[in-house]
Amino acid sequence: MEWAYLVLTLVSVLNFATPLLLAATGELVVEKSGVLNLGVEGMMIVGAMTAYFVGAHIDLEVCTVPHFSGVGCLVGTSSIPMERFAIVVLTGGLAGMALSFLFALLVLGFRSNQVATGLGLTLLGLTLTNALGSGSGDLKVGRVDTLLGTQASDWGIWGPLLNMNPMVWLTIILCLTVGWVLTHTRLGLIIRAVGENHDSAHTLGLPVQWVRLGAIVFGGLCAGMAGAYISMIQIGAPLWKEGITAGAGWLALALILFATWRAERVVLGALIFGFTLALELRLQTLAGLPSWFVPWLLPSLPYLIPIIVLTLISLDARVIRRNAPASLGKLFEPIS
Amino acid sequence: MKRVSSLLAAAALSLGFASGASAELKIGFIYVGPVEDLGWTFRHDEGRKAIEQHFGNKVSTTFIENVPEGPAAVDAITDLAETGHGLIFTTSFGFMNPTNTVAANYPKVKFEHATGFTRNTDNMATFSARFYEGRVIQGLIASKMTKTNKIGYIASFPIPEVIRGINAFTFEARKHNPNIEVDIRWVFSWFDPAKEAEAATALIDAGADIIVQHTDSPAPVQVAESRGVYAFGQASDMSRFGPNAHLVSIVDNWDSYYIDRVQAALDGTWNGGAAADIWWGLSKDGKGNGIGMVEMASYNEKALGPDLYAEAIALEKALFSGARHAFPCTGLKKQDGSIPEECASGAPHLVDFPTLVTKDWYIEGITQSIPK
Repeated sequence: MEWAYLVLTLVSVLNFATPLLLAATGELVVEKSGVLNLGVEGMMIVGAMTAYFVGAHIDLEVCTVPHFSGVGCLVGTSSIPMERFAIVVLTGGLAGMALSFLFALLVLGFRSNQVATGLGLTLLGLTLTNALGSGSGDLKVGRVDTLLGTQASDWGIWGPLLNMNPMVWLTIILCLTVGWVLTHTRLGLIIRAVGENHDSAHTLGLPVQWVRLGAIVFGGLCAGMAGAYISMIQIGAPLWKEGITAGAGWLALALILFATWRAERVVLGALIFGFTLALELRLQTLAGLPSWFVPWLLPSLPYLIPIIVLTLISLDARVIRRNAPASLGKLFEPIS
Repeated sequence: MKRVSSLLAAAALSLGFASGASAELKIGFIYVGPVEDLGWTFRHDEGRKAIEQHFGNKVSTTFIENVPEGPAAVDAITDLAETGHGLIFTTSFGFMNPTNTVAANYPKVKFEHATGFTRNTDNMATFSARFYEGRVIQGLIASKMTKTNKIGYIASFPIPEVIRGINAFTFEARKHNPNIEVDIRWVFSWFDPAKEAEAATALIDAGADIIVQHTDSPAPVQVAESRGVYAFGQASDMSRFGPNAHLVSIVDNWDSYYIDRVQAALDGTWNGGAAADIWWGLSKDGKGNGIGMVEMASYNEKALGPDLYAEAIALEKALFSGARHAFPCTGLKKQDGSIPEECASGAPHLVDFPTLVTKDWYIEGITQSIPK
């Protein structure tokens, strides 16, 4: 096995891991504050669609042939510079945030059931993007510029890795930072206090509802930006289609259980998930594989491994109890 | 025209959402992907629009998109049959058994299934395009364009249609350049941009410098463009997704077939049953008469250069006129080195039935095995 091939495989692993990690980072904070938001998939896909459409518009002035009604590019040799891409990602995040506000309103404001509301949020996101996102087939969105551009080859076999979108590295840094904030700062202590026992936190005078609102909105921002990564970066060129997130939001949720609510393990888990996803198409041609291995086992690996690990973790109930926020998913009725 | 998404199909149709009751014939379409897939489903929908344009008020059409293959499709097809559609096209291989199931229940409704081979009842017809004729041209181009002698082939499902394409491509490519190795990766999906992109990436990482796809999204062409290798488009013209990378697209053209069959249904000459399996290639009858179901679109003349471009066009003409068959017996062997039965008994080329229709073997020169 050549080193160059291993580096390229690592690029694929990180490419798969980044949206999972980003969405999981947001959800980690949400769950640490005692709220379970199962709407990650819905927030992600809304972010993915929004980013794509904003990408089509932000590219407008360099279009050679504008799309009908002057929106987007039908033919554009243009690319999206990094600072504009930041705006695109941010709008994707804001779209996810908007959806999470709705969740917060229902869950915190009207005290609706978190599981049911979260599932509803996912369905809402999927159907909303189905309705709004069709007919976009003709839009041409410019590629996002890379850091090194054509100079990537100067770095030899490391070029493809260094030339990855900065979101990859920023996401890892963000997740570790969030982990540090949760464990080492006063803000983290407040979030955890609210998540462990909201009644005690309330008695201590902590603004339980506001802390949770902040966490939920942060989760929406992260999920939306993760969706933007999928539609703008993951495929190598921007592409939107209905259902493009293809369950990444659920993998992000599984990732948190997998990591037992520990940020550094979330990073590790995302890499393992990314590895299994990247492995599927790379292992296919390995000589000597039984013929059933390729169509059946390889595609299910990314889903089998979490199930196996979760089963192993659950064997020892203490592991879950020690790490899970005690108030997770519970209704908070402030004592008036 | 009405647009019905599969989730809402049952509700919408039962509410009488289908209009156009005055039309002579209501025609229904079942799509496996979204209309905007820019590939397979998109081209079928162009065919549906061609019907509307050609027949005007005489017909009305409905489609249901994103219908999953397998038993779930029965519901969608039944919905169309229940709501007065007289002619129903189901446009993916995986709809084969569901279509036959529904056809047996609705003997007065005419059913047409694309790319399958089962016709259990007299109201059931199948049709298929000889896409592999386009693969021959791609094989020629790839054999002369590759520098690494390694071609990456992204395959969807191990079904006869896909295997015919792999064989036709490999046969022609190795005829011109015996050192060529075709690396086939299966994504087990017709439309999954992320997975198709990863397949293209994995193939390029493994040394392929030309990407062939038998899937429907433009993602592989986009990956090829950003990695600086060549690629062929599939199902629709994909040149705009990779202006430098794109060499030529195999484009489906169902327009004239659909118009033919709707006309036949209106005239009462429509036929189904055991013999009703219609295959068109680059030309309608395989002998150069009439426009067929397969087109080659947007040759990249700049990348090909004048000589190879002329050679490709000449090959396309020969395939169109029938002067050249995609699977001539000369030099054709199965993967295990044996000679196909009809070739052994002196036929000039492989025959449609049963060989090409049910093909489940690779030709010599492919080292991988077909996933079971």
